[in-house]
Amino acid sequence: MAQQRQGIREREAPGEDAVLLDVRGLRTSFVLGETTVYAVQGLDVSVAGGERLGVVGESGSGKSVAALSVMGMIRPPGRVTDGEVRFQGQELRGLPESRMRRLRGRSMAMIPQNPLTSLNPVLTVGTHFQEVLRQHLGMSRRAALERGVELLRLVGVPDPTSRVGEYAHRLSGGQRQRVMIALAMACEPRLLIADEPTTALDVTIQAQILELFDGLVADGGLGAILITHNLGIVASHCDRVLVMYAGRVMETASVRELFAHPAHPYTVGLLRCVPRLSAERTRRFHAIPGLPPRVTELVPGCPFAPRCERATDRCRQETPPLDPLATGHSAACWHPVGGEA
Amino acid sequence: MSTAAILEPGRPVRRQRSSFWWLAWARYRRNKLALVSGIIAIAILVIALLAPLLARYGYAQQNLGEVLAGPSLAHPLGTDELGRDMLSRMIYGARTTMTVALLVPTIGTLIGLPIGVLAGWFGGIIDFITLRLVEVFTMVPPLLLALLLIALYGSGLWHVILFLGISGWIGYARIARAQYLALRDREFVVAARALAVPNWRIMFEHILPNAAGPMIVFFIQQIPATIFAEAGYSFLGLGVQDPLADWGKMITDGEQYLQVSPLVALLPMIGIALATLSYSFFGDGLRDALDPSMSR
Amino acid sequence: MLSYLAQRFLTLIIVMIVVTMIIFGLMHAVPGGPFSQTQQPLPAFAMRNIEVKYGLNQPIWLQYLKWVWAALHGDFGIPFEEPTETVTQLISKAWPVTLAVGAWTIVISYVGGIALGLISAIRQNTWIDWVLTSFATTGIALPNYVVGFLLIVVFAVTLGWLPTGGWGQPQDLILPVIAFALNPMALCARYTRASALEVTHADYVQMGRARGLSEWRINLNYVLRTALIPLITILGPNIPNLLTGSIFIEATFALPGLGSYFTTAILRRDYPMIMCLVLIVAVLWGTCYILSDVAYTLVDPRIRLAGASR
Repeated sequence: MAQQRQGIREREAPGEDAVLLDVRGLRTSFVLGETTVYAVQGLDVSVAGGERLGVVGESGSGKSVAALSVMGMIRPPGRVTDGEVRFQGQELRGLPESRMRRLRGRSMAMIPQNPLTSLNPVLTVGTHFQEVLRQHLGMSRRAALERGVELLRLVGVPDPTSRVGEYAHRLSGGQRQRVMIALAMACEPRLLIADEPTTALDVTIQAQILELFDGLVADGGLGAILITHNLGIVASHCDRVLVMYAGRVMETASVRELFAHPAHPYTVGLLRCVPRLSAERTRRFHAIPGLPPRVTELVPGCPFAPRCERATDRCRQETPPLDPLATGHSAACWHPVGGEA
Repeated sequence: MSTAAILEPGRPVRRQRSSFWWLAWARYRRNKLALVSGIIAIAILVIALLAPLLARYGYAQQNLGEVLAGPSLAHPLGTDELGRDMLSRMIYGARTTMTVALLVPTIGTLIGLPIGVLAGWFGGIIDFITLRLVEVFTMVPPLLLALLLIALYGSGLWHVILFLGISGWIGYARIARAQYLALRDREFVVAARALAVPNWRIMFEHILPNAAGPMIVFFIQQIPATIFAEAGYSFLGLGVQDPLADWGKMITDGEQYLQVSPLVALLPMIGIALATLSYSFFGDGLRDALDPSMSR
Repeated sequence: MLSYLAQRFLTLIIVMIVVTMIIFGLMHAVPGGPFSQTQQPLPAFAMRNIEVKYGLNQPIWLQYLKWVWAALHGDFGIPFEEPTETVTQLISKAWPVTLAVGAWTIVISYVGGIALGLISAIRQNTWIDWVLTSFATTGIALPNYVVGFLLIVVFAVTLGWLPTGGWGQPQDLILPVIAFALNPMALCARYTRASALEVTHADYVQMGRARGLSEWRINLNYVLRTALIPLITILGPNIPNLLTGSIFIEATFALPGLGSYFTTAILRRDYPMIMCLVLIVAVLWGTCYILSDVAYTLVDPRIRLAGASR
């Protein structure tokens, strides 16, 4: 399947805008007994330094699996079956685990979805920092602890010197997520992957965490991937967007472009689902009929066809490639909205 | 909800049974080891039940002319030191062993379950007393207590069953209590109470089906331990008495003839090993099947 | 924390008293004393003399109190069976044997079991897992004395490598400990494996890997440490079982430990002996219970700190 990558600013000179991550044709599947689940099918994505990429999709669209695949954390019964993953110019697939370990937590870091269960309950916050800093940067115990305090201050945890000696269960959800962010930032990574970092948090805390996130990315010139199912978050905190469905990319564009001129019917549907205060009072909520599939068979045809009101026979028989529609805007659809009928 | 429909516009609706027990059965089926063990376990039980029909000879039928004989047409597994047919003895031994293995946990459940349920549900003083009671019984190891009771009241099959049952009630009480304590605060119970459903009804109809899983698993897992304990008593000469066939006793009696006629001791060993292993894995498989968090 | 301990300790003492009272009462409740089962019935006056000598003619509660008083002084009386020695002497000769066997069994079965279980969990579903699990499984197949018997037949009788029984040389420990440890090791391995498997899929383990921590660190600090916590409540209280020896093992290997005293004393209504044994067992149980409670609270910071704010 020929997929074309469009619109990511490509500058040859290293620095903030250089391409950090370049993924082509990523495929990941899980073999569960007799069934194989094709979680990611042919994903192309790039992230440059200083750029925030939003990855949007419903549960089961493959976004988390894609992130784990990039970090080389897929374990049996899962397997990355195809594709190239280039990070800072280096191909990650095929690297021995020991080399991957040196990258993880150091050059690329992850912020998890559920901060409540992401810290080791028997270790203090400080120990978490010491582990990472000693492992990757060879710091001494005391230096690592001090750095930990600094990092906690950086992420806005009040009273970091005493927090550092506490155990996870004493911290609130928001504080734990800040700790996770601090841990992710500990070795000054180039790429930050945040997997639904605010889903498990109160709405009031969400805003704070996301602002913190933005600040860190801007200050450090990091490349960031923000995985979420919340379009509102994408609108306010991302530069580019990738829409995933059934393990594939449906549409990719800059945030502006996507919200102004959504091309893929799925994207259009998603946007219509967001209730607006300005809409007429009598309008009912919009929903996309049906459920997203769990892909256990590789059949040709657009995966969204069963739920799409614009679907034709061609959609059901031929898989649409990700075609560029305008600069920096591609959609995988035979009948994109606003394009050819 | 006992069915789930999979919606796909344009495709016919597919119905799939998804009740708790059906899913548990599906999970259990996938576990080959548990499946085989379950079959063996039930087979042993069936043999025990049908013993008089399956055994050609009585378990006490002696034939002193054919002592310690090897396998033959008349005696496919040979004879023991008193000329009794080993095959029949094994079959009847299954009956004795299974009787003990099932009755002892039953007694334990009968005593422990109500106590545990009451302690877990009502809490307060009842729970306090129960916990102290449990501690008292814990400090006297079951073996000691049962030995004492046997010394006082005599030995024999039914004594062993009764005393083992009595001395082992704690485990069941603990499990029942833990289950009821945990489930008592769940939303569906709170909802039932808000609807003024009477206590006993909640305990039996609402909580019990949910709590039953781990308790059943515990019951089955106690079977191997019971078999060992009962065999232990036979070892000490305090258990089943002659001429009743019992695997534990047969091992003890047959050990001295190992050089001469190994089958006499080895067969019951195999019997016990099969029984304990099959019920252990059966219990494990049941636990895995009933616990949704175990599925991937 | 301290008040919690004191409270537990107090309850322990009370429960111990209750236990000893129950056993004492139970023994005396049934007609027929220690001397009614001798071969030849003794003439009446001899019986009376013996009763007086052992204080059996006094009311039960008085006998009990006298026993308690003596026990607090470390005097456990004279066993009916062998009046030439005191209970204390007999037990202090037999106790070290049982203790040695028990201690070795604990070390081998727990350490071995935990290691096997952890490795099985880490290499889940590989051939290593299969082999180790099968090995652990054999430990639960037969009662320990049957295993002991088979070991004797193979290693002592047939191969002649090890002694068949008795006590005095270091080799005497090997077979009994193996036979005794097989079952607890198998159980320990199973529990550890199950617990570790639950923990392996936990978020914090995955996040630890996401930070690039070494597998060693992950396995020890993240998986094992948290997996062991729930095991303490199971493994801890099993220790008294192992320490008070197995009657069966000692019988099979002819070890001069406490085990034999258990059975003979009970069967022959040797009251002083029985009471002393019961007390030992009760004290051991109680102490191990409390110790494992304490260990549990110490090891799991979530509980430790919750307890402090009580």
